[in-house]
Amino acid sequence: MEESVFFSLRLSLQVAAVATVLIVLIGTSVAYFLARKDFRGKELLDILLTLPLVLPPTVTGYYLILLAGRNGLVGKYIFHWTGWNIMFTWYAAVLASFFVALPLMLKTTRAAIESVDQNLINISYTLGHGELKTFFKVILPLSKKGMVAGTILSFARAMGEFGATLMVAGNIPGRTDTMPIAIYTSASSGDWSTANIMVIFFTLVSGAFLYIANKLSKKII
Amino acid sequence: MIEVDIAKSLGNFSLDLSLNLQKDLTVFFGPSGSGKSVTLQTIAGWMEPDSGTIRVNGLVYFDKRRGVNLPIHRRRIGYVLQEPSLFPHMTLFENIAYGASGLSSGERKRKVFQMIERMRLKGLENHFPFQISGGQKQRGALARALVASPLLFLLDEPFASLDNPVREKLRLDLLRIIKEDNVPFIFVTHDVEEAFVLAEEMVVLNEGRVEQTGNKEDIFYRPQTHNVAKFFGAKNIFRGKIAEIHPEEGEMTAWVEQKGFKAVIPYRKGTVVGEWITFCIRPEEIMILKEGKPIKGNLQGNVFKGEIVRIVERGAEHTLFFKQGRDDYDFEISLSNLAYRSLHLREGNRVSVAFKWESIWLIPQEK
Repeated sequence: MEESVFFSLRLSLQVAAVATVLIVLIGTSVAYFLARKDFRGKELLDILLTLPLVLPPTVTGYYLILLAGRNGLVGKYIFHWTGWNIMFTWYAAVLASFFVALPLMLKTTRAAIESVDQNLINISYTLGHGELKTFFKVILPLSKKGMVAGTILSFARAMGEFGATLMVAGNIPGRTDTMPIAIYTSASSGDWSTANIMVIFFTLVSGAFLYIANKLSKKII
Repeated sequence: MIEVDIAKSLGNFSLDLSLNLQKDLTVFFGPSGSGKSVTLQTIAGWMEPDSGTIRVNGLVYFDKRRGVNLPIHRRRIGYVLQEPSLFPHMTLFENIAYGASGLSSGERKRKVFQMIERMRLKGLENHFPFQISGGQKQRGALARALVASPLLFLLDEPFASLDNPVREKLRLDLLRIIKEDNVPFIFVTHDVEEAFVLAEEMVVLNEGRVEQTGNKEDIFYRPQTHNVAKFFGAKNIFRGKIAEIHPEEGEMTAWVEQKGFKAVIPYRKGTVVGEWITFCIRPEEIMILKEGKPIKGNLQGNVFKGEIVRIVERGAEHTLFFKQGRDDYDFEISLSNLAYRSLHLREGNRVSVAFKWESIWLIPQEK
């Protein structure tokens, strides 16, 4: 029982960490383009990426199945070329967490980048530095606050992800049962003692995470 | 040599100008909203004009027709704004070093420290912008822009938010730099005194158009438009109808209806009787005649009897408002404190005023 509890905990942390790394890298880039560029379909892209915030997680999960399932838009090509499919693996859990938590990073980072004084950015260009250098030396440092907030929110959301994960990763014990799913399984089968332990663990870990995150963000900012 | 020939539309405002700047220090002067900042921004590449060309020393920065629009970071321009624009997350040293890229770290350090000395910022290298004063911040911004060895320097009212003694000192710093570095400057201001101290050449802008270009004396004593006269404090601007012309004597008489007086003014070739003209006299050029003291020079009968209706102290000088007709007042007269004291004047005194022939300037007809 302890093994499965620890496994679920470890899996949740692993899935959330990987998803968050992807969210920070991809989210920051997309947020930069949304904040500073104008292009056809910009608002549509913004809406599409923000939808998972509004839609029920099961709907997001459903769309992910349509996309990444064995017969999905993208999934069928991957299966055709490699014989592998993402469904019911822990990678699918990462995928679900990614799309569900991305909007949080996008919104906070985009706002942070938009609030950087345009004059400072222009001055950086005027001093001979191109767009990339200006991003790393001026925009990024001045958007830190928003980005840190976005990262913390994303990680928290990824840790707590349940609905979409259930749809695409399933509930395979020892393989894809992240903690929220494991708790659901235990509670619905009447195994209160396991459920209790997992809930306490999860709460403590989440609390510790928030504490560390707050301390770290004070240091960074 | 800077050639700017552009048009730009921004909501209600439209800019349309053609300039050819040759001097080392050009001052853009004009009221708020006249287009000075927009022009600077198009030269720097921060804003793209709707049409036209911009060339700096032969290099094409912008050419709408040929589709050329050099990106900002390739224009080699130094820019200092009115608002302090040092990067808040970097120390003064790091800020200045930001402009000195492409050098070895030793070379960069040397150059930055050299600039810090030059701009009287020694000891502040490790301070952050929020720890230093406004004047220091602007000197820092100047240093940062200079260290990048720009081909052209743009300054948009850089000293406007600083107090007077600091401003004056910084102007001298600026003049020193221009002499030492040989970089052309465009300095934007709406302060008459500042324009005067700095300008070799002046461009007067208003509502997106150029009103007049020229040197200080031209602008001040020979304004080409009513607006230019107004901006530079010509104050006594009169519209009159020509009553008589005497071309052989080089004079003509104008009747100023609104004020109810006639003045004898220099004849302008081609003027006919009945034509409307505008002339102006600077407030410091009007003399108050002392009882029994004759005035030498050519007054051409421009002597007026009236009353001092108001006296305003202005620190280093006094302004007197003189009335000779029906209007509230007719002439605004400026006297140095010394002159004022020697005349022992009070509000209500009856006096005679006059102005010399050379003090009258006929504003050319508006197109």
